[in-house]
Amino acid sequence: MPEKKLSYYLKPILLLLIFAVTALLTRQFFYQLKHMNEADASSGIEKIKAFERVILNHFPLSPYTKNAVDKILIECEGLSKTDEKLYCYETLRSSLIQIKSFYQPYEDTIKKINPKIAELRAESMISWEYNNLTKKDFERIYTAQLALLNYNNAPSQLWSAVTVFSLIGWISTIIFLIMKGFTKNQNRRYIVTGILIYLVFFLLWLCGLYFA
Amino acid sequence: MKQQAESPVIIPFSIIAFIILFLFYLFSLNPILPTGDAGGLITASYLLGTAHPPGYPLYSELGKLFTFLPFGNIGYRVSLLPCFFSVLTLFLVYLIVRKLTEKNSIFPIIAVLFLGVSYSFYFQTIIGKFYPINALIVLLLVFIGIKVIDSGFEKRYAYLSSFLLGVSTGLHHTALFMTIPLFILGLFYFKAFVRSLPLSLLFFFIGFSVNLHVYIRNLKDAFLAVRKAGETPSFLDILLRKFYKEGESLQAVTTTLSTFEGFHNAIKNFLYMIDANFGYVTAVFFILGLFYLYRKSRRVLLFLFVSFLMFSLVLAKITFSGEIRDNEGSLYIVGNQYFIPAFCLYVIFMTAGIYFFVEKIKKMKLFYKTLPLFFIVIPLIFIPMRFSQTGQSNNWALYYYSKDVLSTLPVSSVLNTYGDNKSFGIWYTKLVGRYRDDVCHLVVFRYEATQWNMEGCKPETIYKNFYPEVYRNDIVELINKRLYYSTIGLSEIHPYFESFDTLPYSLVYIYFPKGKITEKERKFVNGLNINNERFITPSYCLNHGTDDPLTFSVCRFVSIAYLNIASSIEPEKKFGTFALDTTIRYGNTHEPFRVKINIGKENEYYMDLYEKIRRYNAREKAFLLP
Repeated sequence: MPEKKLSYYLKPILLLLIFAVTALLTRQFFYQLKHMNEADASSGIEKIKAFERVILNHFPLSPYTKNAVDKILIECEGLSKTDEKLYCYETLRSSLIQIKSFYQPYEDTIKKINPKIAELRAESMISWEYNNLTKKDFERIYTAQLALLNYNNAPSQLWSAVTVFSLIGWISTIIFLIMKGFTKNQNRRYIVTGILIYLVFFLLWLCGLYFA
Repeated sequence: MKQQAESPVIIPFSIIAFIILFLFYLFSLNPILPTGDAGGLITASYLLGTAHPPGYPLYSELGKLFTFLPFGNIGYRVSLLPCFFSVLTLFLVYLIVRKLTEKNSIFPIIAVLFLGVSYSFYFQTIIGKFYPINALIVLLLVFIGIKVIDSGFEKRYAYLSSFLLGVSTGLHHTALFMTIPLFILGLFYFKAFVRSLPLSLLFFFIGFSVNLHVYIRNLKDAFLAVRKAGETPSFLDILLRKFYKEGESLQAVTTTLSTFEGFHNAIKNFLYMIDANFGYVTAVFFILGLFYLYRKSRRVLLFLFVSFLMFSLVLAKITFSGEIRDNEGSLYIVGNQYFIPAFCLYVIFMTAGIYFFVEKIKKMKLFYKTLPLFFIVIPLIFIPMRFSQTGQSNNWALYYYSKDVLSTLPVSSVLNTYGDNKSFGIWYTKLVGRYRDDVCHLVVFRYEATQWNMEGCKPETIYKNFYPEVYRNDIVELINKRLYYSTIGLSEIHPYFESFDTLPYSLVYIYFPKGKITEKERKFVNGLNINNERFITPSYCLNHGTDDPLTFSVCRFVSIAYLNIASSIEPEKKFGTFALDTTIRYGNTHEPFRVKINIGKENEYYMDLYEKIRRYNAREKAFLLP
């Protein structure tokens, strides 16, 4: 049987990909709608949790995500107790961080609420009687908390991408090198090209791991 | 046997079957944070770090790739990884069965459906673990082996299988079991096989170099699940699982295989898993499959059967040879996951047997035409059952448990946890979700250990501002400030037992200096219990819809929080008393737990919640338990 060209497989692969993405988006839409309805039917902390689940089921350009973010912000503003307010802002911040992909959606919102969270944390620490802190300590604690909130613990996005794509690259190259180069009649051209490409990917991979 | 003409509807029908299974998995996936190892694996993926030994670097990197997807949350995206690989594994099963059944496409679909809806395969697909990827590599090696038999020994297949074996060390070491059947296969082509060995070895090490991830990321102080304060394990210690002492990879294999002890249990337990997944009746077709392959190609039979033995009885002898019929831990942590490659091979034999049987009744035209359809319909019946009893689509239990633990703690306090569920869940919530990152999270790996893993208090430069005591390994000051919380209750065997006392608070324990718990302290804890009840989410322990025993376990801890809350409320008029004097056990933990509650109108609701959660999460509901 003659070997089939890559283009032969391209169309079905593309169709499967479109199908998979559509299925994924449908799922996200379905669950966002479900949790939005739960939010409408609840109040207080439960409402915040329902909005959180809407955000956690985010998909690009979803009107529900924006709606949930706006409504959580309104809920947070409306709360009077420090611990509930803190819970609300922390929930919003965490849910937004969890939907980060190669970019951070609603980055401005996170930047806007970080100082508020730092303020609420500082107030809570001062009000914890066993800490023996006074209002004079506020500025110091606020600054330390803000530094913690602004600290990014995730590895570099660029180097992470370099790492994972070069890993796929060198694994695929070795498979290609073996399958095309080591046929019954060894094909030196494939072997040499394969080794060179492998080395490039492998070095990129090592760099990615180190610099990420 | 003659090749049967392929019906034009078979290809679209096959595609529909794969689509059904993909949608079935997609809508069953855990929405954020599955129980068990998944939290650690997701955290390691996101931080491009190293999960528990042997580190799973291949999973971490592929998981990282999935975190770039622009929909859902990070936990859900990484959980898509095994889902994706499960579909690929099913496709490989399809190809292998197609090869063995003379390219008649209806039988591969039977195999795919039987395996795709089997309990263990389905369970492992939807909980974010690496076993489907491991199964894919094993089946790729099986496929290569069959190719070798089909086409004669070509060196490139030897190199490819060596490379894949090397890559598989970046996942679960059990894939290395394929070395034995591949070696036996090589003996049939002895000279060519020996000549291919040097380069095969080279390709193995090239594949093995995927583990450099562990070494380099360790140099960079990236997330490492088993790092203890002031003590970073070496690259080889992680790789060889020396962390687990008696469970260390090489030792586990050599000691358990050196005796026949427990072999009877291993067979019994493995057969139990076969029954739970496919039913004993399918064993008839499995045997017919052996017979069919014996007639078709003895080499294929030998190769497949040795592969099957390695992943069934040999693996069972190493990991599954105790009396475990009613032990949910062994059934779910070993039986339900380690044997996925064996189940794939079982289904391959079984479908070959069905094919053989159907071919034998060719003359009975009605049966000949309808029997394959009957075998297709049977697994489809299980889809709604799996979806409603095992599916994880509404399982937010561990996520909310972890989040609620953090929510009930004072700002900039310290939390100490022990156990996979508790520690990994909080790692995800705090390190990936950055929820309440003011809390310093310490993890111990044994109940009585006091040397912490401090991944949850990094970077030291920032956290040291809040907790200089932690970095001096001094918790007394923190305890005096009521800032030290732990999921560990103290018993005689714990080194802290002589120095500290504990009171249960919400989902954790609060520590006090020994003998210093007065009425004032009790009132303080009661006040906290009542005040922070708002932050606990009971609903997800009452409607998670899954039979996962680890979810049950999480929810039983949630139920205890309601006992703590109820005990903090003294009713004006009591109409009953509830007393509990028990020991909470998990891992090597044994925490004494005593509570006496006067029940009245004011705390009746919490007692009711306690009962409801216990009932809904009764361990007997787990499918695999007899």
